[in-house]
Amino acid sequence: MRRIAAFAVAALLSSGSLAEAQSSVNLNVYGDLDYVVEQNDTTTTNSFQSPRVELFPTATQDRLSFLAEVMFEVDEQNSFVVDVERIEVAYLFSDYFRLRLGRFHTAIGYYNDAYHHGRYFQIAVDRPEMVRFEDEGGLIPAHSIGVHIDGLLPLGPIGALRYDAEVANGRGSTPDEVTNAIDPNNSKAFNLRLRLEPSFPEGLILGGNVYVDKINASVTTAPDSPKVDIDEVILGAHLAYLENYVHLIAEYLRVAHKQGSVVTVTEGAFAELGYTFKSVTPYARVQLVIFPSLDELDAADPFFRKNAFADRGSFASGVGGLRFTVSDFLAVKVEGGYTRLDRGTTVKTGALQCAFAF
Amino acid sequence: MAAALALAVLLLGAVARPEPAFILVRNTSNQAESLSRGQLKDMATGRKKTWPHGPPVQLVLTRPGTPELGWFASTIVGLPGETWLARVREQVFKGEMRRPLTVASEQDVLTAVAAEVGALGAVRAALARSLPAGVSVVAWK
Repeated sequence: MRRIAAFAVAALLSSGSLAEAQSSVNLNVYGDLDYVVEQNDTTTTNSFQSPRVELFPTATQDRLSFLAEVMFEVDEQNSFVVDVERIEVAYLFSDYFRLRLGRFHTAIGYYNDAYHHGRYFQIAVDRPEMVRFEDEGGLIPAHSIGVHIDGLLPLGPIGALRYDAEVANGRGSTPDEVTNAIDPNNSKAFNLRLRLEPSFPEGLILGGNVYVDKINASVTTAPDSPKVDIDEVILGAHLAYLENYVHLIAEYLRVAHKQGSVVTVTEGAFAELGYTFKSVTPYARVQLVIFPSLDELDAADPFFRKNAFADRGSFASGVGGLRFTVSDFLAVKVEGGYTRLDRGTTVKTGALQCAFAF
Repeated sequence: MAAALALAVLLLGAVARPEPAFILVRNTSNQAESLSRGQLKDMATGRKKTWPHGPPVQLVLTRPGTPELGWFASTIVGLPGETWLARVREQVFKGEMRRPLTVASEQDVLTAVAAEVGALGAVRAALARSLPAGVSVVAWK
């Protein structure tokens, strides 16, 4: 047996197959260092932050490709924890059809899978609140574990149609749970996104989404909490134009949760506009999230009741800032924000961010 | 007389037309002999991920600031080199584009293109007369 194995290794070496099978892995490092001030009606806080640093390995072998995002980020206890944000293995059949497996950013709207965890690439300091990650209070299942297919279908002089379709584990029992290895209810989520990319104006993207899932939601935060079944339907529409130094993204999202015969609806929208003058990009973003009333949440939507933002209720906010692209490796952002909560309080924020990309 | 004059003007025009300073090169086993600028731009920005005849696109670039990279960015993509490279990095981070292969010289571009069936590179037009085996010019308009 050992002799056979030795022969096999020798044969591989002599044929060069081992050498051909080698693939080099590239590695990038992304992260940011911040100074944040927050003032509400009663208190003011300010902190220097080193909130995250991530490793981004990629590899390609002919039509097969791999990427991952391994994030070291600070948790609520002020300590670094490791979070694997993406693991994707893709096979590119053609421009019409690509298959991806793993943990990926769900193809909902524009922002969620256009901007990942490296802050260098996004124009503002933080993501729009409705598309923040699961543990930050976002409304969407930002990460999915499953199968993704996508492609670009030419439409002649009209332009092209881009499609994304996904089958995934879907939501966990709480908004911050990502179903990495166990799907609590075995029921899969289905997502379809269609985008029209017209020939004129070149670069314009108009898209829409349907995401359907069944959630086995925990009623309380206790580990042995009783569960209720919720049907989730997320509908979305988006528009993006990022050409000619213009940065324009606008999205709308409607999340409906049906428990028994009662349907609760949460809505969110944002618009982000910027224009780049050489290395400086002034930008502004307005956003709005409307949760059902807390009574409705208690009665009919135990899932979103545990969302980090639902506690503070509906809000409208605006941020404005400047992004300086210092080099290919460093961007500095200065930003101010104002949030008005429906409860009547206001929050003012200021932030300075150094986002790096090596 | 008028016909002769017109012919002379045409000939003069042909003679006076400047030679392109740079050319695009591909692997000879890649069948795509001619592409539109729009197709090339899509390939250079991750919108198109494969060549018309199938192989995945692999950009082969010289370092930022080199004339051939600047020509490719401004003429094919329509952006300054730095702006285009920033977009490429963003597309790689999204998973929408293969990481370009960055090499030290135009000779290395030719070597890499000869070795990779889906490779696309830009070199000075003067090199067109002495392309190595396995490398061909991509016609474009």
